[in-house]
This record gives sequence, structure tokens and C-alpha cells, in this order.
Amino acid sequence: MADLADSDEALMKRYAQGDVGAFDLLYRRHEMRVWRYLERHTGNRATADELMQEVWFAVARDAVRYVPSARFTTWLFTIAHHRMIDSVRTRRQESSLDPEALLADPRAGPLAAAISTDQGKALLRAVSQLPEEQRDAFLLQMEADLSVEEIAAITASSFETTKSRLRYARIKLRELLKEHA
Amino acid sequence: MNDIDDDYRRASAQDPGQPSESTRRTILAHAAALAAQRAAGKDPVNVDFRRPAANQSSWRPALIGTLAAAGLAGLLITPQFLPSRGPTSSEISTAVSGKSLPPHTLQEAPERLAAPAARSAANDSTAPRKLGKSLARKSQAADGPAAADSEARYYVAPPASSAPTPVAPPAGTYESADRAAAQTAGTASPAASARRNFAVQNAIVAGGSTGESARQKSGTPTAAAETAATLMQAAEAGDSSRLQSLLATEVDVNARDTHGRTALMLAILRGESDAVNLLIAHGADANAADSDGLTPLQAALAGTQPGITAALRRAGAR
Repeated sequence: MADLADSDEALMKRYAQGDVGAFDLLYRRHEMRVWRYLERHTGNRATADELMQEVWFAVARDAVRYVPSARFTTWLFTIAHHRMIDSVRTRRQESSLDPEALLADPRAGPLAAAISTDQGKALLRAVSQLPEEQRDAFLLQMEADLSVEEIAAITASSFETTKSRLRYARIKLRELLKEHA
Repeated sequence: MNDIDDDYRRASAQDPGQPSESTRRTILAHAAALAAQRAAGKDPVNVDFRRPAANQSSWRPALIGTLAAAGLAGLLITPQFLPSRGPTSSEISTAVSGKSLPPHTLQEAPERLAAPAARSAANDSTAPRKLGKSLARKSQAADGPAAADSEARYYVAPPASSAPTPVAPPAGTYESADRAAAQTAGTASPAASARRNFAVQNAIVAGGSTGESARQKSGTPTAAAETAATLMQAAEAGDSSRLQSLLATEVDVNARDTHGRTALMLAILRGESDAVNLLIAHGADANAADSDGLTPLQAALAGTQPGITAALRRAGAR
């Protein structure tokens, strides 16, 4: 049986061998990180749900082919990144990255007030205003907890480019927060 | 810079947003069903249905291939929408050269007219060009108009025993055109037939439905696709009253979405047992697998609703 102490890679192996509980554990372990990454990018919860299904369907489908040559998280967010890029490009017209709109989502409920502080709103708005590549690198680091090398591999960029994107993302966030202050 | 990171982590952690419960259930049910398939000795990953990201260069050859296939298909289909071919220059040339035929022999005219033209062409490599010029000259000659008129009638006037040629309908009236074509009892025009095929293709593309049945049931392909989509939404939401009202119409109960899932499959994945029972009662196919090869029974076995599994088995699900 799957155990909380099992690594992601071990859980994937167990699932490939038929242990459904291992997939359940794996999903719950990474659910929020993947979903937030998708939601922050698309700015739409319904779209994030749809992409979430696509990502995890792919994980389940390719489990038997999964070779743990890299961290599971890297593989998982590679899938998520590609799904997100595809979606953002095709839905650019429909997408709204306005945090106000996110908070207006009826599914947010009364708890939405929890992040409706000025600081939280301003920061989410600032993230949504980052150039796409900077936002992607920033979210991969913040939500997926990936290293610069891993982000570079996922986004098919050089190490230096990725490092620059991360640096500029933070500078830009600071500037935007000053403007909101 | 750490303050930014800390602030972001704090704001992100406080964000109450999360995936919907139905998304979570669908993912876990799908994973369980795939595991069940593997356990049964089937490899559900033989075919990769994923669409590659738009920024991958492997799209280029695929795009070129798709465009080439579309162009070829267009070349093959377009002639069916063009008006019927008139007489060739060689045929008219032969006719206007004095061999006017009596009306009752006109049916066999093409073969008879083609033979001299073929002989002429065999003797003269420049025949097509000469025949073209000959046609232009002779059609204006003294004996030309009458002979050309009688020849033209062969291509326009129907045989005495047949029904009138159906009149081409205006755009958007495929249905009436098809009926008119059917009434001609065996003399359906190629154009009407092609339009019917086109309408059915549209139905399949628009709704992913069975096309012909959807067209017959709901009048137009678009309406059929919309009704089928509404049915799927109702099944997914477990909205029994809406399902009942939709099933009272002649909606295609086995229409599929882009993943090849029927309304029944969507209801199973959401654990909506009432919707499952309703759909089965209205003839939903209990063995309609989705694009991944996942069958309704496999999906049900992965869920936690034994009632759904039992209902499917009663409906003949394998």
C-alpha cells in the first residue's frame, strides 16, 4: 500500500503496477500546486479545472512509461506548462487575468475575503501583469518549487535566460507594488 | 527579494480557490479506471490523444500534411458541387458537322458521338485545338444553331420517361433539396446527394454525434449538436428534470464530446446514478467507450456507486 513517506517516484511506480491509492496520494500531494499554477496563468478557474483534468489524465495515462530520470515534480510541471502554453495561446482573447474577476468567482465564497487585503490583491494583480515568460518562471519557482535549472529545462530556455526572467520578474513586482501603494 | 517571495506565498496560501470537487472526482475515477484496464491486460496508452503544445516544432510537418490532405479533399469534393458538365467540344463538333440525331436516339449519343471524335483525334495530334476552333466557327455557321440547339437539349432535357430534373435549391435549404431529390425516384441529382453528404459531415463535426441520425432527428446539424451538448451538460450536472425534458425530444442520446464521451459516460464519471438510469432507459449505449477506450462499466467500477455498476450490467454492459 502507498505510504505518506513514499517518494513521488515510488508512488508513480506503485500506480503503474495497479495501486490506485498511490495515485490518490500523489494527486492530493500536488493538487493545489498544479491548480494554482494553472489558475494564476489562465486567470480563470473553469479553465484551470479543465487543464487540471488534462494534466492528470496525461499523468495517469503515461504512468507505465514514466521513467524517473528526473524529479516527478519536474515531469508533472512540464506537462502542466505545455498544457498552459497551449491554452493561453488559444484562449488569449477570452482570458481575464484581473484578480478582481477572480475574486468575483462565485466559487470563491466568503473565504475570498481572506486574500482581499490590499496587499494580497495588489500582489496577485502584479503577478498577473508580469510578462508571460517572467510570470511562468516566477510561478514555476513559487508554486512548483523548482530550481532554476529545472525551470530552464521545462521552458526550453538557457540557464542565464531563466535566471534573468526570475530577476526581472521580482524587480517588476516591486515596481508594480510601489505603484499600487 | 525574499520579501516578495514570502508575500506571494502568504497570499497564495490564503487564496481559497481550489479545483472543483467534480474535477477531483473525474481525475481520480479516470486514474482508477485506467489502472483497472491495465490489470485486465489492456494497455490504454497505445494511442496518444494528447495535442502537442503549439510551440513544438513537430507541429510543422503535421500542419503541412493536414493542409495537403485538406487541399486534396477539396479537389475531390469540389467537382460534386459544380454544375453538370456540358458537351465536350469534340462531341458538339461531331454533332454540328451534320450528324444530327433523332430525339429517341439521343440517350446513346455520347458513345456514338465520341467514337468519330476519338478516331479523328487518333489521326490528328492537334485534334483538340482544331476541334475547339471548329466548334467556334461552326456554331455560328448557317446550319450551326439548329444542330447545336438539338444537341444542347440532350444535356438539359430529361428522357421522356423520367421525372422532371429537380431544381437546385437556394443556399441553406438542404433538407428540401434532399426531399425533392428523393422524390425523383432514382434520378437524384449528384448535387443533392453531395449536399446531403456535406450536411451529415457538418453534423458529425459540429456535434460529434452520429451525424445522419442527429440530422434526421433534430432538423439541422447545428441544432442537433446544441441539443446533444445540452444533454451532456445535464447528464454531467445530474439535472434529472432537464434530462427528462431533453430525452422527451428526439435528441441523439449517444452523441459524443471531443473526448468521445457520451452523456452516459459523463454521468457515470460524476457518479450521477439517477442520470445514468434515465439515459439507459432512453436507449443510451451501455458499451460506448471513450477515445481512451474506457468503457462505461470500467468507469463505473472505478467509482463508488455500486448502483450504477448494477444498472449498467442490467443494460448489457461488458
